Amino acid sequence: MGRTRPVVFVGGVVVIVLALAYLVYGGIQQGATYWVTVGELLSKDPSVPQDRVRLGGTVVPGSVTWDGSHQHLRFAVTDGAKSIPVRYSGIVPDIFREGRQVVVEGRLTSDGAFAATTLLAKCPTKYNPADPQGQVPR
Amino acid sequence: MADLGRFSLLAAFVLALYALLAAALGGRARRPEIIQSAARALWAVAALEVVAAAVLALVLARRDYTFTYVVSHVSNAQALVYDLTSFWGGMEGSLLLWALILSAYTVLVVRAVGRDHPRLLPGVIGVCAGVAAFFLFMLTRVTSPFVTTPFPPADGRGMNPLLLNPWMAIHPPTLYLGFVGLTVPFAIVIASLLEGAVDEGGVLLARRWMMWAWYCLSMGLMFGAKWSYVVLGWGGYWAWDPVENAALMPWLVATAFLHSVMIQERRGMLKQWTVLLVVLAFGLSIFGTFLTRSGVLSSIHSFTQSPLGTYFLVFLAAVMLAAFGLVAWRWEALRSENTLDSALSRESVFLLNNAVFLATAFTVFLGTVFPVVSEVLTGRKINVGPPFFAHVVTPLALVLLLLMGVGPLIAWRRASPANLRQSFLTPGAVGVALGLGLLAAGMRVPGAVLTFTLCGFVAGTIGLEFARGIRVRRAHQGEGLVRAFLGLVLQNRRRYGGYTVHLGILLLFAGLTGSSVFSTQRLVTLHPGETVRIGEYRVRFDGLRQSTNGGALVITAGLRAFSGERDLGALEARRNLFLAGEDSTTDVALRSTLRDDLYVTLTGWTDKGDATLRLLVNPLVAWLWIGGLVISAGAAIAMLPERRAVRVVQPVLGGAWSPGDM
Repeated sequence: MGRTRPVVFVGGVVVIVLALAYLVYGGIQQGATYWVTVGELLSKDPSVPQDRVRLGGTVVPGSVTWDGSHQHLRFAVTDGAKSIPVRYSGIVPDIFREGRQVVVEGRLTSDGAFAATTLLAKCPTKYNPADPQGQVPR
Repeated sequence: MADLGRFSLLAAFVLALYALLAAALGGRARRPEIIQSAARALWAVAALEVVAAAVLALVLARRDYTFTYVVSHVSNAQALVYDLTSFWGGMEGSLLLWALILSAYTVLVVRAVGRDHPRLLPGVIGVCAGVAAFFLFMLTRVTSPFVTTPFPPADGRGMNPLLLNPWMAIHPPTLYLGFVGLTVPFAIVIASLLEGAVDEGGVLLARRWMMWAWYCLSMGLMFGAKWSYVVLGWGGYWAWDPVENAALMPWLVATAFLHSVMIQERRGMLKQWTVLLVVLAFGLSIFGTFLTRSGVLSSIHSFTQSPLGTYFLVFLAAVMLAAFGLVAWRWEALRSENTLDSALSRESVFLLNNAVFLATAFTVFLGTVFPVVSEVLTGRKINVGPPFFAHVVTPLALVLLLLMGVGPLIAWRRASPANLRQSFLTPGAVGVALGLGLLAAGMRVPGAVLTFTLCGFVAGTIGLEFARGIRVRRAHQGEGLVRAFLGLVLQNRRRYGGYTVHLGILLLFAGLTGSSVFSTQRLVTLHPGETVRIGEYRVRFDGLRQSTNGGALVITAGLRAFSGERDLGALEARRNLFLAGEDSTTDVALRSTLRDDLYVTLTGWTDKGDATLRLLVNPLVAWLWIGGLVISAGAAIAMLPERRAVRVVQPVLGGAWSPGDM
């Protein structure tokens, strides 16, 4: 590119930047989920979002139950101090089990349970944990 | 043994620092003998790293549980081949692999540069030695693979069973070959900038290495996708996970470079831009290694919590600042001889292609680091998941698909509306015919119809290019069809290798669209003997079986698939419950055809012998893997050495295409 850039070229750059900004904005609107802790979610603080949130914590040992057909899963997630019941039906990762760290995405329902649409479990050996085991980070 | 490993790495670290220093001083004083000694130091670094790697491989193979690395990645029950592949199963080993590959590349590139471009030698040695020194510092001071324990256990913990798979055994080294390969063009470009501007020889050498890195990254991405599909059992192959994005970002930037470098070679344009792309690709390779290896990916943790992450970020920031500073300093010397003649030209299509590739890379980057950015800006971590990526990347990918068809049809410098009409006619007709055909066949998803229409258009373009080339050869040299085809491809390897890669990408688009838009799934609980219908298939559940395999209890659901009345044979969906680690893995019942994949996983069962199955029909998935093979063939053709491209000085007359053009 030299000193004489065609107007078309500059216009093209502007169009691309605007289009990208528009796409990114729309994407964030669609995909954004807020990270919260169990304590925050239960605090009923109005500044804490209740909808489309991502909740990280440890699966409470002894809390995992399946229904008869093994399709619907219930368990509780704790941040060490408080815990919340979680309902989930969908793909359960192979590495999901009690005492492991998980991330659930979904919303808090009126009956006080967390309805999860996504369940992610942390692979314990694939990556080295960044902080000591068992401590639930913010 | 541990001492030998530790000593080798420490000595290698010291020698790498020496090489860095000697290259800097020797380059400044123009003293070839000092530069030579720096090069020899890098040979010694390579040799010492081989020793360290041999030690690690040996203790892994011998299951020497005095090493904590062995304890965490090897167990008595594990197959020997996976003991060895656990070399790169953990962070320490994979950093050692990084350093080892870098040294191998360094030895090769130092030889080539010393022979053909001795001016660049000090810079190349300096950059390679600097990067090697960083990784050796990590390996000696921060996260050593040779940590021993005074009380060795009788058995190790072994790798996560999910990683015990052939695809996962070759995926990391392939990806690392690509990641590390990005260091070499970076070293060449930095060396050129230190000497003045980037000349053509340097660019060509950088391009060749970038091509290799691109090829390895592509294959690494494919292997990872295949592993995800056959092992994880969720029915998909790409989840926009940060690990995947880490490899995708440098791939996108490398792809942009491979296109813009053509403009630079042919027209002497975009020099500043290609240099920036090389620097960016290298930065993303370090960022990617940091993402995959620093623990930030556990997704629950915030970035920079581990000391490892801090080191990586400081190194990355320092290198990027220095490199961009250098580029800014040489900005005027990098100014191009030529300017864009017309908005309607192949150059401007390539420019747009580069802009879109970079926009895509930026989007992926933004989505990956969004939790951190949002935490800094708003005080609350916000995640953007697959919906974000799908929303932003899909339109960008479609623009790229369109450009892939437009680029080869449009003339260099300035295209006239008349020749545009003429060259777009056939491929456009192919695309429209395909689109209308699909509409008539009942396809009603607008995005899918659009994608397949564009695929038809691009296929038409590629077919036309091959057909024209063959026709010209047959007319001028009277060759037979096969001979003309082979001669065409072999004498214009980069061009037709590139088109072959495009063909592979096209198949990839078809596979992606088919499997993401038209996938159907069902979750059912069945009694033995019951049948479930999914898509065109019927699947009968024949009962559960229990067996043991090594350290695992295996639950097998016997299945039989039917299409209409036709018996397609038996399938087995399994769950392996590992008794020791409480882990479990899934074996997918998979029946793959060119049309679609029947994909069944066993998600649960009851004491009465009922099974809960998740069934999916994923159309066109096989074309993803075929596309990968085609890409690999095309890249292989393009990487064969070839004589230099000729610059276009005169505008091409009489149409967009002429023999030997490109």
